[in-house]
Amino acid sequence: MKRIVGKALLVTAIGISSGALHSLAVDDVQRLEEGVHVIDLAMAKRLFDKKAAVFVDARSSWPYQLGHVPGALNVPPSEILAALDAALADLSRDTALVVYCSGTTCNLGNKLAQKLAEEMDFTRIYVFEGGFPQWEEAGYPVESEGPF
Amino acid sequence: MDKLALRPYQALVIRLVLGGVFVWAGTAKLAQIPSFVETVAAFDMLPVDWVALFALSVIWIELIAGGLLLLDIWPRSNALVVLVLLVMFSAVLGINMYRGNDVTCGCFGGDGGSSLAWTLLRDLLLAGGAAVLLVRKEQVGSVSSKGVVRPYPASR
Repeated sequence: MKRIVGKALLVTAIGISSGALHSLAVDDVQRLEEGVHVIDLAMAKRLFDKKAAVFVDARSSWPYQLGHVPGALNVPPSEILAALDAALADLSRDTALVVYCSGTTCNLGNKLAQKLAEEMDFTRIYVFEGGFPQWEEAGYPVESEGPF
Repeated sequence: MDKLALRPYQALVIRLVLGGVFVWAGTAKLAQIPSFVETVAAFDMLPVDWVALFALSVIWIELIAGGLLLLDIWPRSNALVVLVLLVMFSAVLGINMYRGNDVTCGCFGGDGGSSLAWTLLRDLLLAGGAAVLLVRKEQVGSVSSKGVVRPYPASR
């Protein structure tokens, strides 16, 4: 019986070691944690490339129309409740959301993230602190609306 | 207690079913890692930082133990491994049923559409099979291409 248990422990140890190695190799995009977290430009880009999150633009509609992350939904501060309902009501509450604004000086992203978590019960919210200026400066894709 | 006496083909069938189910389950989870990690997190039994490591370890233990069962390598030891896994799965499912949590088992990657009660029953049946394999009297299960049953050495 000792031999049987010993071999069973060996198989288990190999399995756990493989799991540990695998967890180091798994892209952090696949291990998004619940809650509200701050992310950097690189992580925002990975989420964008893998289509692993919905981007939410917290700026007012004018700068949004001038340029935004492609596919981003606009939730302007002046009409936040109506916009939240219109843009996000149909999304599953465990959808990962990346909220951004006009950079570190803009607090709208944090405020919106708080509202999304507390009032709309979204469980995975990532605040991209660098915001649209950093995204644009990096030369990443930008989308605009209207004749600008 | 006398060990269970099994006919050669009974042990073979149990071993292949257990091995096949675990390799299938591990492969399906491997293809949907994020979904399985979220399922494990939804069970609310582990600190968040441990969820991914635990989920990936389960996947690899399933693949290794299931594969070794199919290959008839250390069958009793691997029956013990899958028995422990199945008892653990059953406990987790039972606790979540008791809590009234509306979660899916994630056994085969996606939710599979099975209720927790059915999944628990299935796990207990498989655990019974693993237990029988572990304590059986005859260490039989290796069948040659000519259908000849080769008994294992006593020390195996």
